[in-house]
Amino acid sequence: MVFTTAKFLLFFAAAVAVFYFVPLKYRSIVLLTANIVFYASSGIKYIPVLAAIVLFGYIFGRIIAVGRHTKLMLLISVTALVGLLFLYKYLDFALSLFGNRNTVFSLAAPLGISFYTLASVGYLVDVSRDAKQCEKNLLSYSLFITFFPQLLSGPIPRARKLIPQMCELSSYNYDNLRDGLMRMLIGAVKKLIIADNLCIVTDFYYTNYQGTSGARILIAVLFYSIQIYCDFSGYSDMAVGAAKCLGVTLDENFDSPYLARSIKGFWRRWHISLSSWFRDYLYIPLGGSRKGKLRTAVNTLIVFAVSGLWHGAALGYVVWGLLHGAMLDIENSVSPLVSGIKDNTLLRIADSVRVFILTTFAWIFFRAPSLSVAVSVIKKIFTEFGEIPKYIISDMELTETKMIAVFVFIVLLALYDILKDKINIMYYNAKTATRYAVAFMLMMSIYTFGAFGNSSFIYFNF
Amino acid sequence: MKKIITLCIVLILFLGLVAGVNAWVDPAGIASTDSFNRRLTEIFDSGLNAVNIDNYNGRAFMRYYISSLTESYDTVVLGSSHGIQFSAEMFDSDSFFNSCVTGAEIEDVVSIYQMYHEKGIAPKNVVLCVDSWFLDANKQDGRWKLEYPDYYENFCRENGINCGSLKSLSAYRRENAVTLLTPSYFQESINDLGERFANPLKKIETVSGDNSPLGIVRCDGSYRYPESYTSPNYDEYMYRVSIEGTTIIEELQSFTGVDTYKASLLTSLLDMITDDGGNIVVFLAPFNNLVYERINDSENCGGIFEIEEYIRSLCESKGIEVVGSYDPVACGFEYQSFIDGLHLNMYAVAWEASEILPKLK
Repeated sequence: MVFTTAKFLLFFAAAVAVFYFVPLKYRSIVLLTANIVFYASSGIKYIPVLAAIVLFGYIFGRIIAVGRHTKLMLLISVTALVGLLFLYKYLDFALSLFGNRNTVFSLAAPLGISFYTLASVGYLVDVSRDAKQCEKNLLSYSLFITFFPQLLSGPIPRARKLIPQMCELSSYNYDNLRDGLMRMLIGAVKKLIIADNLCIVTDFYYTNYQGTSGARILIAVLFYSIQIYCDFSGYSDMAVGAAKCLGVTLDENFDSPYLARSIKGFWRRWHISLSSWFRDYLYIPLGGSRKGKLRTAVNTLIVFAVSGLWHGAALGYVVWGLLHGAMLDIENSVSPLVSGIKDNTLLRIADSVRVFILTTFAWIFFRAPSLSVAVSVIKKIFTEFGEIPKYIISDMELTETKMIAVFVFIVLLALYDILKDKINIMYYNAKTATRYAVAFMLMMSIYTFGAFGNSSFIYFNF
Repeated sequence: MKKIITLCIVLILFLGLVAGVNAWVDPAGIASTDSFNRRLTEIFDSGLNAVNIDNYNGRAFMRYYISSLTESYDTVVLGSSHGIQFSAEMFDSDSFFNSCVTGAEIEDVVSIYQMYHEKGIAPKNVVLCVDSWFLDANKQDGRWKLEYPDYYENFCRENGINCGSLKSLSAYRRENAVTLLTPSYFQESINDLGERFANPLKKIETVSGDNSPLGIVRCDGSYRYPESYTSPNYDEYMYRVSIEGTTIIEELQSFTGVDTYKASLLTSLLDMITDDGGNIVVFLAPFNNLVYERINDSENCGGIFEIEEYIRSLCESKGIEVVGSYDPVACGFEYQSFIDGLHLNMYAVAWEASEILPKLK
């Protein structure tokens, strides 16, 4: 069930209404039912997989919390969870790398498995570090893993933040509902007006790159940077907003990443829940930055390669991860040399532009269907640039008016990212009528300029 | 509670505004069709062509128009947009009507023929454009249900085919009313809003001949695509070819063999036309060469050959002539003969018509 569909909106309205209608003590049951219905709508056959992972995590959490053979139990449980993920997502890929493709292992991965596996592994590691983190109530633990707003594409939840909220579900609060709905609306604007319209262009040029000039491919490459940001941060906004409507606060997943001044800064602002997960559960256990410069550089490369692989079983993702790891290592080596330069606005802008260019380049490997296509795309841009097109697209289900609207919304989004705090304060201090007017305008904009042909989110594939 | 009620009122107002705009502009004529169809019929009866009504509801019009006929035509074309460009001029006939509807399925075709049949005005010649998806069980658009489930049911009953449980026409239309709340219909309405203000009574612009760069629905039922569509720039053309090619390939990849139910509809239709004394020419419209090459290169797309072979052997067993092929090379076309991934340009259509013409009675 995709967040931007009428089906989801009806489900969500019903879930919220029933959730607040029933007495507080039954809300956990209502929420769990809603989670199951939500997940079942994307394939009932995967419910047992989700249920098994929930039970497995719960039981091993209890075992680890006892404190006997903690490391062994942790190793067994994490290996089993990662093994299951491997079986579903990577076995076929691994076999194909060795020229062996056995279709017996070609299992369709359950939606969201990468996300809820990481949540489970994170929980078990937390329990092994501090037994007090263990949740004894199966219902609360189930809600932590299966909470529908974050089940399919995150933000990847942390037990210490989410489980307490699941144990004490909040009572009805209109402000939560209002703020949550507004956040969902902002997410829908990002997704439907910007990402899905740009998707028409990027999909076309990435599919037909052979017959297209380098200039047009460059446009698609630039658009993809904006598209993936709006797609994923739009999804995250909707997830955070939906949770807020139910009185649950999820971690933020994005913080204006293209305004970052370094690759390091970018990763503190992009998919925050994933990068912090890898930092806490992989980078630091590997030794982090405590074991010398060379080891730090290698650890960074390992973490980013694994992060790339987590996105999908394809070499393009690994290259994308390694590129980021390498850029980060280079940045770490160079930063002491430039630390003396006096900061100014121009430098800040130049830094952000540099980050945008570098990340945009890396996205080519992420977006292209294969490594060879990615290389061809780069080659085209540098060797067959051609003339700068007079028009970008016309008649691609993307009218001129729509394209103008998309650009206007990109500018508005950039302004919102820069002035987020001030705009939020202004909005919440505004009169009710003004807030309704803004919401009304946003809804009307979605209806007028949104693209409704491609409603799935990019990160649903991971 | 007061705040929740206010929130609900704002939402209802919003949806009300959307539905209001959609119902007023009604670009595809789903809210009110009868007055439009009456005016269009009057225009056709006067021998004029209608301009710029590209989004009109062809299925609803077909139902209205055929019910107003009193005499049979010599030649009627049935099928999808693949056959919609065939005109009376190409067939050198004054008694010709093109009853093709865009996105037609086999259910559309049998229902429309049933209208002629029930009215007792079965044509002498039927040019039947059989598309590859006519025999694919996975192709279930179902737009026909909104306009003529009753005729479809009659056709099935007359031919001893079990059509399952169909709802009434009004029940299907009630379900379709939700379209008035959809953003895609709203966007169409917004596009046509200026035109609607300029022409609040929805007067249909007319032209004699093809003297307009806009899309023309001719009085013989045929359609002339707007010049902006028939002469696209390279990117637009490639985009259309790419999108349509992808759709066709996806459909073919889910094809699991000639559907026996759909095949029985086609067989019954051929038998019914023959029993009515009609002469049939089956036309297989070619795909764009670029699309057909992709089909050839793609895995699991062999269904296209299976379907063509099935249709040819069925026609052969019934002594029915077949013109054309899904393979453009077999028809002698190159990709320049197409305006998109699926449709021939006017010259290529005229050439196909010249192939069909000698086979008519």
